[in-house]
Amino acid sequence: METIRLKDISKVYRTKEIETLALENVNLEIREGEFVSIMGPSGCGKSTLLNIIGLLDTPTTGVVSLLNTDTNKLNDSKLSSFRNRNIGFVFQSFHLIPSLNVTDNVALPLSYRHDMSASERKKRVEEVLTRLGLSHRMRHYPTQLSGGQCQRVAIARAIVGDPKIVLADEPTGNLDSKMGQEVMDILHQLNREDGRTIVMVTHNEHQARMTDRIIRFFDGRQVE
Amino acid sequence: MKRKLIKQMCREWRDNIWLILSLMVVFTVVWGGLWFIHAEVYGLFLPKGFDCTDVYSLNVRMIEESSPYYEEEGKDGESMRGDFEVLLRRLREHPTVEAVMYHWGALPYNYNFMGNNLTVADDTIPKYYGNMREASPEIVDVIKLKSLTGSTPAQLKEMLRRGELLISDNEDFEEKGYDPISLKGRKVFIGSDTAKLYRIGDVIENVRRNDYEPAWAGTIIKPDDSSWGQVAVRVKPGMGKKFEEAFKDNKELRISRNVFLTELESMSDMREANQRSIEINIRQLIVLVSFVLLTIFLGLLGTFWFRIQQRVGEIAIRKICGATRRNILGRVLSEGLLLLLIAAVISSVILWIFVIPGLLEKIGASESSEWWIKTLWIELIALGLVAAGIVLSLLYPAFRAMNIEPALAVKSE
Amino acid sequence: MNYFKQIIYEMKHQRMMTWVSVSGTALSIFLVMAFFITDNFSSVDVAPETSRSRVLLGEGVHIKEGDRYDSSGMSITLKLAEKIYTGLDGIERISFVRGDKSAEQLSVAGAEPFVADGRKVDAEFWKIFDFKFIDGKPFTDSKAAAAERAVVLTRSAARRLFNEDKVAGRDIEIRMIPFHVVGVVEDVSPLLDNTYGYYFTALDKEQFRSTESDDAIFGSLKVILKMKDGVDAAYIKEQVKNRYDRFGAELKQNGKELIYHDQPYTGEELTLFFGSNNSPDIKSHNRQQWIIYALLLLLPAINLSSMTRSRLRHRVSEIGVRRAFGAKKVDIIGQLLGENLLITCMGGIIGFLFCILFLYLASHLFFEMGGSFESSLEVLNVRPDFSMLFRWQNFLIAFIVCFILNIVSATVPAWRASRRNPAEAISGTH
Repeated sequence: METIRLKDISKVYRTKEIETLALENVNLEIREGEFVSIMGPSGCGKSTLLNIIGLLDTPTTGVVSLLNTDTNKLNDSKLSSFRNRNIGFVFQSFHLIPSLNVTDNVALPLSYRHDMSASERKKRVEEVLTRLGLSHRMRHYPTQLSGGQCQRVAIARAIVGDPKIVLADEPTGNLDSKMGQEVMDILHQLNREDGRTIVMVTHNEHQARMTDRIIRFFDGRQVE
Repeated sequence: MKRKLIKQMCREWRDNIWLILSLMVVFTVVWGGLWFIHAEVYGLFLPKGFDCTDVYSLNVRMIEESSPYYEEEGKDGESMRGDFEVLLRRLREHPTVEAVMYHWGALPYNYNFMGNNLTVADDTIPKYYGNMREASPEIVDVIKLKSLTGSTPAQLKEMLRRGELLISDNEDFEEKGYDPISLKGRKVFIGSDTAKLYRIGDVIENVRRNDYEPAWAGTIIKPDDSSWGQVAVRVKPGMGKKFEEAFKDNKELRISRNVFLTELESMSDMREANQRSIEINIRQLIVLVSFVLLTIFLGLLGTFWFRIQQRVGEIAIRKICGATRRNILGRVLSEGLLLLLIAAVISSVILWIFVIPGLLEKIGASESSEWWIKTLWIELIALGLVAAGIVLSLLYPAFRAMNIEPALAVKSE
Repeated sequence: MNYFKQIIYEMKHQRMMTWVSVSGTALSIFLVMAFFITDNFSSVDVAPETSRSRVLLGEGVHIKEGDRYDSSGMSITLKLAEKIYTGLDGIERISFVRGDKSAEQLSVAGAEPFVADGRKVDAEFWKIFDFKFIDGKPFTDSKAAAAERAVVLTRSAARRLFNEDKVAGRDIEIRMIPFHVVGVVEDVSPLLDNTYGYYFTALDKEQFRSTESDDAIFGSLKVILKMKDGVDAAYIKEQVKNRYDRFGAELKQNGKELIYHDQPYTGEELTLFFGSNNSPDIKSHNRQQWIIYALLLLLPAINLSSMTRSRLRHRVSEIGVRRAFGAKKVDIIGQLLGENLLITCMGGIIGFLFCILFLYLASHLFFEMGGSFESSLEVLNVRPDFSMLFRWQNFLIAFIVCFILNIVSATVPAWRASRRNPAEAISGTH
């Protein structure tokens, strides 16, 4: 069964002067529990693709179907709660909220769920942080953490809501190789142990080879 | 350079439109505030025609029959007047007192206006219109009337004693092409009472009603012996406190048989009470203008603070490319002032077309070129004031911009 | 709770923003509240005027006789007052008082006198208003009280004369005529138009009736009416207008025209000085007030709005991330408005407290209070009581003003921020 199915996806960016074709006729299917890497040179449209899968951006044409739901039919509010329950994001530059401490950053997705009690939330956040080895950093603010720690907090935030899909946009791009490896180990662990579907954009050939499948992009087209 | 500045401002049009909008409001309010303040206070700088420092006012009262202090032999009108004269003499002879007059409502700082026409009996000169103040001749010394023809106070008093009138300069009369001084020595009648003719003794400086209100008619001083409901006392300079104490302690100064003086009030207190609503109005306007300036100060400070935070990289690159600290400062300041200029031009157009003609019409000055020029000056002052506010509020953000370390800034980008 | 922690953090780390926004709001609330509170002094219930919304004042009339004669006076005769104001429907009590408040000299047998404002009132006056008697009691029979020259003093008049409060039963002199003190009341603030005074003597209607000529109109009386609970002033005015019409028709036979000017007046109307030959123009006063309020709110709102916009620009990526993790547009708008309200309220509290302090110390320099008083400095330089300032209504209004300020200044930026495409917001491209 496919967790992610993209059908005839194109994305065109228009400004007054120019029209840029970011994606052209992309068809893609990703099975449940797969760990897929997307590779390609800068500006080939891989981040756009990730945004479209993550429902952060809408394709110009085509259908995005996630977990057997046709997302074109969802309005903004439904999209929001769909993201909230089913998708976790990990970004290259972490995008932690500087004015919130580690616990509050991780609890962010849960704060948009209204069917969860405060104590449940707290328990869940602690669980996740312990799992990622951050239980001693709970009161720290992002500026007080190293890059690797930040990315682990970001991963904790991505999985705290127990999403089926985790999307990672160059998760190791801002890290040195040792920390990068640490992060990759965590992602593999999430894939293996929890059975989460992971889609990762990367420039790192070595990291990509460790995943189940590599999808290569060039100029908005899937090449392999 | 300038063209680039404008281009950059256009890119931030959304922010700038708000700023221009608020600057328009600010400029208009500051201009309007100054205009109204001016309209209220310019009278302060015109001659008043009187001097009320060291003057006190008193009311004359009678003891009624039901009082145990009532004296039978002082009950007829003649003896009451006699007792009043006794009180006047005691006051005059008191060492702290310089002059004493009696009257009914003839002092300034009082909203009375007794409009009267004077008509020259044997001529076709237009009527002279003025506020009539009826008092005993000592009014000359008590509120210090000033002759416009060089007569001494003693001469003015003498004229009043002879039953002559004193009139003042009179804008309205002069606008019709007549000089009040030409009336000196002529015989006039008051209102429609042609039977009694009065000689104009002299022409004095117009006695205004208070410090703020400009004279809008003439003043007629008429000697009157029968109105003695109130008394005004001029004390010797600096003797006010002593006089107040003496009046309290010395029953002789207050009572003579059935006539007594009471409700002592200094003219400076009366002035304060009388001018209070004008002064409150002025204070409110000043507060409003300062509030508006302060608000814009805070607003610009905040907005430019953020703007500069956002442009750290840009400013750093400018510095790397050789911009001096002075260039940076100039850039920030000229951005603010340019915004003001745009706002001022737009609001000026609106003001001069829609507001100012009506405003001048309302105060009856739409024909007066002096007022149009004044209004223009006030606008320039308002512009200067707001510009000063802008420069002040931009200085801090601008200094921050000047002190950006290029290397660090570029790195943090 | 998280929002609260977050905003505290942001305020600490963006000191300039905090400083500017909070002081801007404080300034605005300060001014709006100063205007609002002083504008509403006329309707604040303070002892002894504890039901001001139910009290109306009937005073002078305006008469015209062609072009030749146009006269108006602040007070009327007893006969006219009775003709117009007695027996109206919806009136609980009616009191006749002397129209002018006169300053007279008070003294204790021959001692040094002092001058104070006094009123002449009938027995009903004590029933309309809620005077607190420290000693003695009010007179209940105006005629008897006038005959024996009864007087009620305020506490400070009693102290000035006798150096003590409980002086009922003693004698004083008013304008050198002996009077008998029957009671002492708590002092009355000069801000209270209908009750302020240092001493109160009795008004005997018969005495007035006998001295008035038959066709006189202008006299020396005013009428204080207390409406029954729940009666609308407009209903009373309508009846009074009918009486005016009837009396006007009588006068017309003598060639005189009686002009009705919306009598009797509410406290609010009385604060606008308009003279007895004009109608109170509440509408234009209110319009003017609204312009001031709008201005005082609009300017800071524009400023705060551009501040909010700038602040949000720093948080574009945060908003994108929140959207990515499931925040709906409403959540974002709610959060931003909530944060902003917190800042506005902080400024609001500071501004409000300063406003109270300022009004207590300096309101007499900036605001006209006390309505149609004659100008004696003692009366004009009066300060309002704290009890007139610290009212829950004022807190409520201050909060509402904060809320409006917040809505006006933050809705548009928050709405725009919530509508941004999350993908672009996260990557920070504009």
